[in-house]
Amino acid sequence: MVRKRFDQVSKAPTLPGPGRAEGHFDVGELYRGPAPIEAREAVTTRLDEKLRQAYFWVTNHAIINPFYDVEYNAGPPKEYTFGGQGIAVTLPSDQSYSSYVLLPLLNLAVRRRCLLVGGPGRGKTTIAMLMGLLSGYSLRELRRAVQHGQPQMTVSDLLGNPLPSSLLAAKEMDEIKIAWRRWLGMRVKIIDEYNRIPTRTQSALLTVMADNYAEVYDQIYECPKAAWYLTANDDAGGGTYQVIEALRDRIDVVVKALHFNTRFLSELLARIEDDVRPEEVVPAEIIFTPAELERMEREILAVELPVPLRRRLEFFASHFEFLESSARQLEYLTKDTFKLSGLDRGTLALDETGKDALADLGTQTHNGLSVRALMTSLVFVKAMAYFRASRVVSFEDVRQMLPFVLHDKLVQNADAPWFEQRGNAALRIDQVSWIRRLFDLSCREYDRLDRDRDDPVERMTAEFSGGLEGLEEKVVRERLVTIERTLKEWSRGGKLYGHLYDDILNLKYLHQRYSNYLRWVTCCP
Amino acid sequence: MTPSPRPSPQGLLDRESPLALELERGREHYNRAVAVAQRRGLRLSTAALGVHLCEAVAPIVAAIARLAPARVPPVTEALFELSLELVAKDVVGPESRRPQVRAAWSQLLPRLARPLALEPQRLASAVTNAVHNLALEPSARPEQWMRELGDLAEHWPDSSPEVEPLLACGKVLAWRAGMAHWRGSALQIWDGLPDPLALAVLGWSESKTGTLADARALSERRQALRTRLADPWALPEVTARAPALRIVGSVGSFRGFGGPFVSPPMVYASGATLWARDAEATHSLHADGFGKTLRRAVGTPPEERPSSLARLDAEGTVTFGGLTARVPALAHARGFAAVEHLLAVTLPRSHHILLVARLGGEPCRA
Repeated sequence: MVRKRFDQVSKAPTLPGPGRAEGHFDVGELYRGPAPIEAREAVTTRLDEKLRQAYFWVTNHAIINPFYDVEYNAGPPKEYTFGGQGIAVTLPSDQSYSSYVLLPLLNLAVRRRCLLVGGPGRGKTTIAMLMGLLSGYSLRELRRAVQHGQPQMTVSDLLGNPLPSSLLAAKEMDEIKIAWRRWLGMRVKIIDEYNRIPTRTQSALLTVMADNYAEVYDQIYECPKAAWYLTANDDAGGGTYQVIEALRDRIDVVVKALHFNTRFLSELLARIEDDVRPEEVVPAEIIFTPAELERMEREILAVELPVPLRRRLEFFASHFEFLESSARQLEYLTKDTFKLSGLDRGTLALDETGKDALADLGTQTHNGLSVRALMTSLVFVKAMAYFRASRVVSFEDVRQMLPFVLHDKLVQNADAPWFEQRGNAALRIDQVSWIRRLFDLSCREYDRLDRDRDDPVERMTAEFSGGLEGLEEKVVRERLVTIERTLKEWSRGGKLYGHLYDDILNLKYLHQRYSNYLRWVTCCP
Repeated sequence: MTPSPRPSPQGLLDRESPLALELERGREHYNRAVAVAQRRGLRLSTAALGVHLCEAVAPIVAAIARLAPARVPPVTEALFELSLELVAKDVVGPESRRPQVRAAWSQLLPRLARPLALEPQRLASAVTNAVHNLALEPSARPEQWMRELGDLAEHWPDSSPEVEPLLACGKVLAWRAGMAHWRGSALQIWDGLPDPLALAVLGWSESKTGTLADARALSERRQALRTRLADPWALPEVTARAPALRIVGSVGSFRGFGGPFVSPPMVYASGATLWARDAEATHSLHADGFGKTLRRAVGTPPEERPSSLARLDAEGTVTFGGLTARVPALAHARGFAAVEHLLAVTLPRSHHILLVARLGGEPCRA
């Protein structure tokens, strides 16, 4: 009976959409109403609906988490300002979510790697365990499978041991049999306090995380695709051991465990008195089978990212890698070139470029976005749209997801002049708000340049993607002239920004492809 | 604490009643259930719960004890748990906002004891929700639904292993009780019922059918009924009449008087459905021989698709369904729209929609 309180899964659509009004009705509605009807037969629920049901069950019954930091608005939200810093409190006008539950759930759906950071006792391990339970594992299985980071953890502790009998009998390495640790074969992998794992063992973990296999004594164990949950008490990757950069780079999303709101102490009291732990009473309706998880990921990847949104994302990403003072050759004008040089940042003379350091978003980071970061962004924005029952990604899906995906990917240059501006200092600390602000500023610039309507590179790329085969010499020459004219026009502007840099590189690429084709056409008419 | 039954209009709970004995037996369990319900935020009054247990649950448990004593504990537990939810929501109990639902517990559920013993939680919830839904519809007749379902259940065979057929009959009865918008799906369910049940649910009990006891006669009777049911206005128990155009009723009224419209509505047809739109919302309009309902559209209503099924002039001369008649009440109509079996007419300065149908004869085809 007590368990019943945890046993409630939203029966009403969790995200009722406007849809199309129907003139037809089902008499089955007769028995739906205030009294709960127990499902007699398995109800075929759409997986996105099931995902939302799982979200609402976790937020309403499992994790005391009264936060809505992933905000959606259907109209202008009500806004209030507090404090000397002008902290804006908005009341979202559309269904909004708590990142602390949402992101781990989306991570489960797309089976990537999620880092949960925050102080002790914030429920990081609990949420990871809940994700395991939602995947169909029992609490007992999960407890045995959680890898608890500790300074004495060896590679054998993590991956497995050679069987002593086979170790003695083996004449060749491949005769050694390994007793692989059971967690390697699970679809949900939980590494608790990963920053307490010794560096050597972290390297072994990296192989499993990055390449999905484990290796001991020349023996290979192929792991199934899994959703990873790592926890750390220290956001900066500190702890007993420094987390190796490659391992940090493999983490796809970072979620902060938020503080406990003291107004919910009565809820804690009720839990103590009821003596029921939410992990023990996950309703069967929200548990995903392996086949459902597979299908859900396929459905998510099929969500459409509209071209204008993709262009905004490209524009945003283009700001960061470019570093004008790092080289003279166009292709090497990147932060990566500078980083590989090993020189001190002080040697860079940023002011020589003559650019407005406040307007240049690239000055706010020490790096650009990797291919992996961009791919992860694309996957999570699709997952967000899917979660909201849409088959097309919206602007807000992108805006809300990027901060969590790029949290550890964009390395902030806290010395950038932009942070000295009034109201920006706190963004040195609040990584999520900073990245969201970066995206907003990038979109503002995108709109100022009117790139939705005036994007010559997109137009030329579309022309090129039509193919070269059968293209007449005259047309090719016209296109080459268009590229050259565009570059000439841009060069008059004088200043070079990240987005322009990527466009110039793109035009150079197109020019080369057309030139090569032209040479071939004119040589072999 | 055992929820202490307070004096109710019917008096105290008899300490020897099956419910009292069962509550005593599971005292700790039921006490904990009440405490947890209150802790999880349910606005549960133990006094109201006590009254509800005396008034409604005790007669049901007594009926179960007579028919299937072994089922008293699970039935009591199921009804008790359900009562916690429903009393807290003021659906049942002395503070109930729907007296019909209260009546369903005290009068109908004891009559359903036999099927209730099989699946107490499911059937009690289904009946509660059904009466709640019928009570919400102004033109529906929940009392009729309760009476007819009770009649069916009293003749329910002892050997029936499940409640599903009874719930299916309940759906057909809901349509008969005025829920016209469920006509299509109720008829589909009716088609799937066995012959005796299909006839009984439309009021043809064995006593009425008399000589129809043999299977062939039942089947023929059913075929005839099905043919008649194709005409939305041909009631099964009424013999066919000569075709005529009639005002069969009206739907809608001003919001201030409890109706759905904030301003006089306009009507239009799209496909086989009539729609009524006011300044605020759009409703689909449904009517047949059993009832007339408006259902507020969720989402984007379809666009108007004009049809030439009816004509109406300023004098009130209406042509519809192959018939023409002068109906003075329809003179100077504000607008009208028609589908195959129904003409809806709006008047200036009125929030009501008048409904005209061709009664009797063959239905007109577009």
